[in-house]
Amino acid sequence: MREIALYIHFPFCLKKCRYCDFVSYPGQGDDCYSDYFHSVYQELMVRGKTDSIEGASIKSIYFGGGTPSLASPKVLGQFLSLLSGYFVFSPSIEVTLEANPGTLHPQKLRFLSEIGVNRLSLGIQSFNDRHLRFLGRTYAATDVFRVLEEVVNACLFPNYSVDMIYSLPLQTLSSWKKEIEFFFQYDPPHISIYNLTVSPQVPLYSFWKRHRAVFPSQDEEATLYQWTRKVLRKRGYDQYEISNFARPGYECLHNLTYWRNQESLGLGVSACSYLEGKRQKNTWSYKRYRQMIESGRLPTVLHEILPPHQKMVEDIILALRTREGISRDRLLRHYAPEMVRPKQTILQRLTTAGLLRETSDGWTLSPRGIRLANQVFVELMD
Amino acid sequence: MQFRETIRNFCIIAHIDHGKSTLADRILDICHAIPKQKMRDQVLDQMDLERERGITIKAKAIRLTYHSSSRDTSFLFNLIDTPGHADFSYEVSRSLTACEGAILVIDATQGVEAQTLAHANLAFAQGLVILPVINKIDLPSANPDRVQEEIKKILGPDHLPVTLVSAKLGIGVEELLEKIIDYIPPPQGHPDTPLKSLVFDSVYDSYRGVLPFIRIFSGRIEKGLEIMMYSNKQKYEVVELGIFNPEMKEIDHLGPGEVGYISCNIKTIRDCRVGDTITSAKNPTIQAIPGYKQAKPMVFCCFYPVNSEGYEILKEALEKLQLNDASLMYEPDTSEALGFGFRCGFLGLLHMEIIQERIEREFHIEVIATAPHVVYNVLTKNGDLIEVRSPKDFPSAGEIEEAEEPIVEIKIITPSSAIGSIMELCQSKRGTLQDMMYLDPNTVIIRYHLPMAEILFDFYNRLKSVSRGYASMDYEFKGYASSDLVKVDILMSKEKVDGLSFISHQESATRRARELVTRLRKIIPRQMFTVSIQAAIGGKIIAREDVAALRKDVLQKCYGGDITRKRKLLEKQKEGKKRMKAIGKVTLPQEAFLAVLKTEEQ
Repeated sequence: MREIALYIHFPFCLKKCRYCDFVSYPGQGDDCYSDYFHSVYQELMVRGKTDSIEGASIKSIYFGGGTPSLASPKVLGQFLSLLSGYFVFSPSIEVTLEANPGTLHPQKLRFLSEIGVNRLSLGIQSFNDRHLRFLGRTYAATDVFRVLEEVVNACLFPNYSVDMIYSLPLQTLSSWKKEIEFFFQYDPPHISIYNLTVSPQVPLYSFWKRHRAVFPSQDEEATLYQWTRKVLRKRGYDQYEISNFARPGYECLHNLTYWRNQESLGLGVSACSYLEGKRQKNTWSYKRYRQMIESGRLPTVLHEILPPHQKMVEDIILALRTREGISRDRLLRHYAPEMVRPKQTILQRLTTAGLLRETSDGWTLSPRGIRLANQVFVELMD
Repeated sequence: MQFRETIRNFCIIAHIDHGKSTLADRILDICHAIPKQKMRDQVLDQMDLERERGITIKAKAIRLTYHSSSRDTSFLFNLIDTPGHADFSYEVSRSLTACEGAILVIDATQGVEAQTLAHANLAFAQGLVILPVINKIDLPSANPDRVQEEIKKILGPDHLPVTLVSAKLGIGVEELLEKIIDYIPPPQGHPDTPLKSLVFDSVYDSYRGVLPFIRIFSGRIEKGLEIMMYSNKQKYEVVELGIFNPEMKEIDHLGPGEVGYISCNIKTIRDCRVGDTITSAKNPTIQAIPGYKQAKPMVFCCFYPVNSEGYEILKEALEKLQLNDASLMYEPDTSEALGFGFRCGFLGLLHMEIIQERIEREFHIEVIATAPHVVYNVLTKNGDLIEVRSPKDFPSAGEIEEAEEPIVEIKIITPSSAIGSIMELCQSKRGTLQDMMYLDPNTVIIRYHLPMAEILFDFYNRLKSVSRGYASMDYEFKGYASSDLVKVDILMSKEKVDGLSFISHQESATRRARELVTRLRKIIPRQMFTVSIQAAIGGKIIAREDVAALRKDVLQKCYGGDITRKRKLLEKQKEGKKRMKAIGKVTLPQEAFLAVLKTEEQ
């Protein structure tokens, strides 16, 4: 049976963080969220008419945002049961909820577990109050400690992840080490580590532009990243993707779907789908989204049918992000040899340059290549 | 044909922003030259660029009828507009030749400035009657008494009476028009002597070809007359002639003292140079109007399209601009780094900037301009005399017997408080002081000889900054002088980069090389390996900086499966990379080539 990953975008937050360029609106309580999920379900109904997704097997559901943990377990539960009536949930389904400190408490954890959420992605970002304030997060370090303790003590979510951001103002290797030490105290099975990226649309941009000197330089950033990779490996975490580290068996199934360029369905404001070789993206405007849904139309603003060459390039680039890398067999199975050959030449050249490593059946990024992955990807795009 | 006695030909000359165009507008008002609804500010400045910069680039003329009520007679005025910048001093002098008098406008708050002096001198040299005008007397900070004193200094004690004017409010303008009749002599010349007329400007029209703007000194022109260009003896038949009203208006004939245009199927502007004399082919004048010369480009730079697809458009742009601008020169050029482009010659820096802006604005392509440089004369050890227009053609030190660079005379008018720092600036630019003259106890004229190359880099800005904005300058070409010149090459990881070479005086070569190398280090993106940037004279390295290897370049976020967005970011990065030029293993952004321009900035 057709297996797909399902992404639900939840476009509400208590307050938008200063570095965030994802779609979110100020949260207004359960009525609003329940309305929203109603629209999302409507979207699913509309999609079901054109895409043959009804009854498909769902291997993962990911509530991303935004801050989906703002919604009460009741609202989330109702929505999940609607979904389970439409799809077939795989027995090993992974259901992830992104949650921020300050939005969880022990009772809520229990309810979440009861409605079927089995993985939490905690948007902690930092253990340092100054950094949290700088980023515009709404909680303090004490809230971070509390939520981690609660998650650990509840014993309901053996599978959870922590998001952290580095490359923050005045951050040094020793201050970052301290933060990672806090992380180890709780020993989460999964961690995603991102360096701060500031796009021109976000409020932080003008500060970032004017005060580049207070942020770690490229060299310092490289040092932070390299050190982190090393220490996590020592502690038994596998770097299974450029920014993601997990203890064996705790990899995020949902995200692996993206990196393997497998099918996914995204619902909600600004969500992306990739079904039958076609990429789609929904409008980023909540108002527009509702208007389109209410008039029975798909809220899609981008349709892209990938030509084979582009699809192959994406296959390679996405796969190279992961530990598995890209396999020669996979390429030759899906694409004509004359298409694959030029890429093989480039992959070979990058291997000679020390950016890739040859494996038994393909290529992965070398340790140097991981740091310089964009350079590798750009070469492969021709 | 107008009776000569009632014709007055004059121009208005002034330093930038002293109100020349506003005064012209008022005169046009009084003479009802333009219907009210068509009147807009600064009618004479036709190009957008002129309006924005407040300068007149091409000379124009306008024919006006002024009725003097005191005399109860109508007079015919030809107001000839002149460009206001030193780059165009040859064109200014030609426009002046077309006149008998000049109105010298001076701002009542600013006083005499460098171009006031330069224009006044040019007008003097042409034997023009100069009518001094103090403008902007309505401003609270106006100080006409001080300006009167300065006028006495520059025009001599026996100058004509000063008219106090506020062109903005129209005060004093009628009085000025009466003085024009009183003091500016009517033109001389007889209609029955051989035709002698001056080309003081021209315009290209896609239907009629080049239309020379002429001032007749003697003889007459009418339709069907066979005329001859004095310089190249080319003959043409006049098919149309007319006046500026202010639009072109056809008339039957033009006589002595009159100003107008003719149309006679001249194909290219090169055949009809400003300053040339037009005479009758059958009955030519024996003497041309003196002062004709071909404008010679003094400053060169290369234009390259930012995208290679822009090459054809750039070519077309230069062709079209040249139709109206005989002093613009260009030839194809290729650079390893910047691809196909054109080496262009200009009268000066402003001319270059104007052309670049017009290309970008009117033809919608982005161009990269390389560092401007002057033309050097080099005598090689083999005895060859070469004219070096590009640093890449500059011979190596061992082959040079003697090198010469162009020298300009620069006149700076400044408050006396800034004398010290201005002299320091000129000294640091290898200047030699000629003399100094006080206009009044607080204002001084300083005259320097400077290598032209030195004023191409940041001279004007620094002059403004050391004088807190008060100093004004004007320069003219003086001649060539022997100089100790070297070529500095730039090497990227040991490979020479053509587009980055520059010619410098021996003394400042090391300093300039260091500055450039440091600047390049900051501009050149880090690459997969360490890049060494070296500056060398011949085989000798005089400066070096390294760009450390790239250590981290990885997109970390991958959220909600938005692969398209991620791909777009990579595509952008790739585009950026494509726009860079590969020199050996090193890729250089185009800014690197512009860095040479700014070597002297702090």
